[in-house]
Amino acid sequence: MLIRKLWRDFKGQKWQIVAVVIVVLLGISLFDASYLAYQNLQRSYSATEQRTHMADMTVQVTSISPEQTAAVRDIPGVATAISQLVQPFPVIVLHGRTEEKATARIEAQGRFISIPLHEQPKLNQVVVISGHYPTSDNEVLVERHFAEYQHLEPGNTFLIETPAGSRVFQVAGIAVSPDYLWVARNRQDIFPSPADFGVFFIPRQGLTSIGRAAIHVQGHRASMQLQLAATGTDGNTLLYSLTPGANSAQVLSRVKSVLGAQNVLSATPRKDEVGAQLLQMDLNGFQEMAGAFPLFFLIVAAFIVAALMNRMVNRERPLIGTMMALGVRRRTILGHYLSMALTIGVVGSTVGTVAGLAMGNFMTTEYANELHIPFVSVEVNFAVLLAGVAMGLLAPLLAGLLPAIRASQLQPAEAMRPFVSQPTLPLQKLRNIWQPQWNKIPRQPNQHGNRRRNWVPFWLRLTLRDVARRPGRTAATAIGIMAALALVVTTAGLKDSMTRGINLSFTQSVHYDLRADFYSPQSAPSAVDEAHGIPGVTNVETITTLPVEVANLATGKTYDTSLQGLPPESPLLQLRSSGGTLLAPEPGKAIVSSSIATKLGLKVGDKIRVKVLPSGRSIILPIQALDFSVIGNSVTLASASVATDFHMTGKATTLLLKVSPGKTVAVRVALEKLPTVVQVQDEQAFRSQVQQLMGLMNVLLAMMLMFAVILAAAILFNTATLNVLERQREFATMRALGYPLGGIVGLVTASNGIIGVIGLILGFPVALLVLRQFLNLYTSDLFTMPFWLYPETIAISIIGVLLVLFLAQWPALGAVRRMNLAEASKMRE
Amino acid sequence: MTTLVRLEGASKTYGNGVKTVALAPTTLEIPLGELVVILGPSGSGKSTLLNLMGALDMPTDGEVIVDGVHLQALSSRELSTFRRDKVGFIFQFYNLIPTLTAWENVELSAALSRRQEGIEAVLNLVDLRDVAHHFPAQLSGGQQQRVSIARALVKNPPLLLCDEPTGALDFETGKVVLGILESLVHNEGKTVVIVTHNNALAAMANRIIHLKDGQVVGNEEQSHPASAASLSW
Repeated sequence: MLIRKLWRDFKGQKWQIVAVVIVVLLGISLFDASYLAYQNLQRSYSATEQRTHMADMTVQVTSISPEQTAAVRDIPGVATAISQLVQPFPVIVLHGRTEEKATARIEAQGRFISIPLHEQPKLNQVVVISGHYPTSDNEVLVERHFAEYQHLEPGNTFLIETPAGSRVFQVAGIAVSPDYLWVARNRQDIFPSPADFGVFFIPRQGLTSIGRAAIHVQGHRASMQLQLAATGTDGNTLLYSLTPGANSAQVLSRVKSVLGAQNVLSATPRKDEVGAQLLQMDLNGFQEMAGAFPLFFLIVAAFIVAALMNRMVNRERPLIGTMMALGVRRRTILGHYLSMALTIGVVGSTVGTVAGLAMGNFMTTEYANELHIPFVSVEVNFAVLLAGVAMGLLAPLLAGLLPAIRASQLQPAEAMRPFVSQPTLPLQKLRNIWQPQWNKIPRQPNQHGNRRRNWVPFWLRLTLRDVARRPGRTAATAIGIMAALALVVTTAGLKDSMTRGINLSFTQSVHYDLRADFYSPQSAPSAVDEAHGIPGVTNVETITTLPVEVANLATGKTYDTSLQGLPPESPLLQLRSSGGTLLAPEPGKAIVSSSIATKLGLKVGDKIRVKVLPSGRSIILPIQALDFSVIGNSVTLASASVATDFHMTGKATTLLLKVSPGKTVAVRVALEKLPTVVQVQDEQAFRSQVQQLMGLMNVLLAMMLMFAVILAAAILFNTATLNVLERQREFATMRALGYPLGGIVGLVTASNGIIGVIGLILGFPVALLVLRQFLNLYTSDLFTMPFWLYPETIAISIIGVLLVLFLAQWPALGAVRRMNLAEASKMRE
Repeated sequence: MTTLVRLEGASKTYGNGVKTVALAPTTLEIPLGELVVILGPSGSGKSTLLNLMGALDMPTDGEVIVDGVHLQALSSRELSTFRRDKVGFIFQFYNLIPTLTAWENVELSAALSRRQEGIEAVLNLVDLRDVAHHFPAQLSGGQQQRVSIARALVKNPPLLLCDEPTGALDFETGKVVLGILESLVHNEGKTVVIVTHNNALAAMANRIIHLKDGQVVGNEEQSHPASAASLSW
């Protein structure tokens, strides 16, 4: 019988029940999906790294011989060690399978990584996704990103530009490498466009033949790397893996002894590799989402359940008393009311778990496909699902426990008495204090003959007291709105921060169209003259960039970055602080990227040592200012300082060019033909890549907005409906007194509006806190986002939440309009 | 005598499938200045009749005319104005707004009908001056009902409709309330209609309307009604 009653109770308030079930469902599905995706992707990365035998440490050196490599293998703690040669070459991609049939020639910069012929290297293996592993020294594997963008397929031909002329190579296959799931050129360039940068895996013999041909042409003038290539055996990169339990720092120290400390350019553990770091940032985002957002939903669900059950128990007091009088046991009453909460939890958790599992698998698969993770692990983690179910059950159960206990503890006689709702106790206590004293004040009657006066308009009095009469419910609703606002502002704030960062870093700072780097420092005036000679170039500037190590003198912590020398009033490249202030480098001082400052614990005024790698020349400077850059980082000195302190007078390593509209491609082609230029970066292509990322963010924004709307609508719908249901007699009485229908609609709207405003006021600090937390997840030395919210975002967020509030109360207002006054005026509270 | 309330074949039926006739087609008149008691057992249609008179409900058929106004012809806004100006309601369970004090409950009615004068006067009339700043939860049932009367009176309506006004009160308090209602008829010339199942109240009425199973089965005048003070039940 009680089960039948429960079913009818559900039917009687089905929309409120549906609303709270949806909230539970969303919370659980969000938790399951995010956490399962996080675990699956983490497992997939680990599996990929294991199966491709990724090295634990990558050491860049000036050169390493086979004997040195063998010596490293003998170090206790080293499981495997190999050397590689990593060489940049310009490439020309031919559209058409052979050079003769080429319909287009695309020039780009290639990073060539040596691999053994016929067999995979012992460390850092690649996964061939189409074609075959190279079987001859003129075959290469092309990394997937570049291959897809350039429409390269196995069998295609392309050219490598060497000092000895173009060499034809054939694409043996397309490959994926865990190192290049996210292709980054270096820490300062994490978004190279596949239009002009690609990674290739080339048999060592291929590089050897290129090197020897170059030596033949250039002799001792050939670059050091070509000379290394010509040896056939030496490399410039050491990879090694550790035995289980090995002390990484100790092993590295011994490796440096073997190689010679001055020979070592950098040593990067696996987790600090650029690609690995960026991917881990994404994963951390999933993990954070799994923790923070579902909590909002479950808290709101708990509040709604508590409100529903409190009302039900209040309304059914006579029924409870009657049941007790009939002999129904208290624990049966307790169980009956708890079963409503439990049912909500069971339905919400079950559907939420199924949805979460499906969403988690979908997110894993889509993300893995997007990145082409070769070994994807999608598992059902029952512990996560059980945790989700437990949360989904616990939240409503705990919320319903107090009303259920209250119902079971009622005395039958008391339960069957009419229940008169009390004004809020604090309100009454306050009035009891001041009202008698106020009444003692003698006053003359006004023109209506009344001595008592209240300056507050009636509608406002009614509204404010309605808000105050159920502080628990008001607080719950305000918290629901707060949670919804936090969702909206966090998501919109992420986008605003990204937009602001891009604006600061690119629009306000970068005013050039192309950037050309030289193989080695060139005469600055000659380089400028040569560039001006290219049709379409409207402005040229030279800067000097050098690889450096920056050290915090106080702590000794170091960081590898690039140094750039800028003229004080550079028209093409301007540094900005996070506030947007233009920064001009002063002689004898350094401007440091804020990400480096955070990494090394630096602030303005601190002293740093800047040491050029590998020459070791260094200077000590105070920090003049911190500049902001979304991507990458650097230390900037006045060009005059770089010239004198690092012996670069009259020299430049980089050209910055402004070109006429429509001439970018032509100028770029001309630049790439220059023998001194090693790579050309197209700023527009780079920006369009970043814009693509923003497009992904819009998808996330839309999803989170949808969640926020559902959350706000669910709690507001329930609160507004409950408030109206509980005040039916009151509203009917007011209508009987002649209160206009529009006036009552206005009262309900005003009450909900005030609660909405309270929620918004409370919500903003919380939202800003959550936004900051999320931004911290995506902030590192590679990638920095400023904390930013545009005023229009704040305005739109507020208006949006208020709009949802207005719409969510509509069903309740409809109930007010349709109210049968005769019935409602006789209702017992 | 001038007729204040006239029903012309007014009836009320509920339900879409199985129809329930709450009030059969009824024709009756209630003159101005009378105390009318509508008697009948539970489910006889007493409250339905009262609700039709007060425009809390609309007849399914027929007409209800109060003070010359055809209620069915009124829009929703006009009905609100009608209730504001022409009718005062007194409910069995008082129906006070719980978040307003006694004074404010009366003030609400006064503000709606723009009759701010007299709030203090009506509260004095019902002898509630000293507890005017109390909330309903702090008042006894009798006090709450007196606030309800004051609320109805402050707008000076010609018609007062009382649905079981003493139903929730003890005997002595009920008599006090009835005494107030009686004085409104005799001293203020109001028309008071009381719905009750308590036959004892019929003695104080100028007119007694009997209802049974939704039909008016009796409509008699009493030339010498008893005083409220003399009633006993």
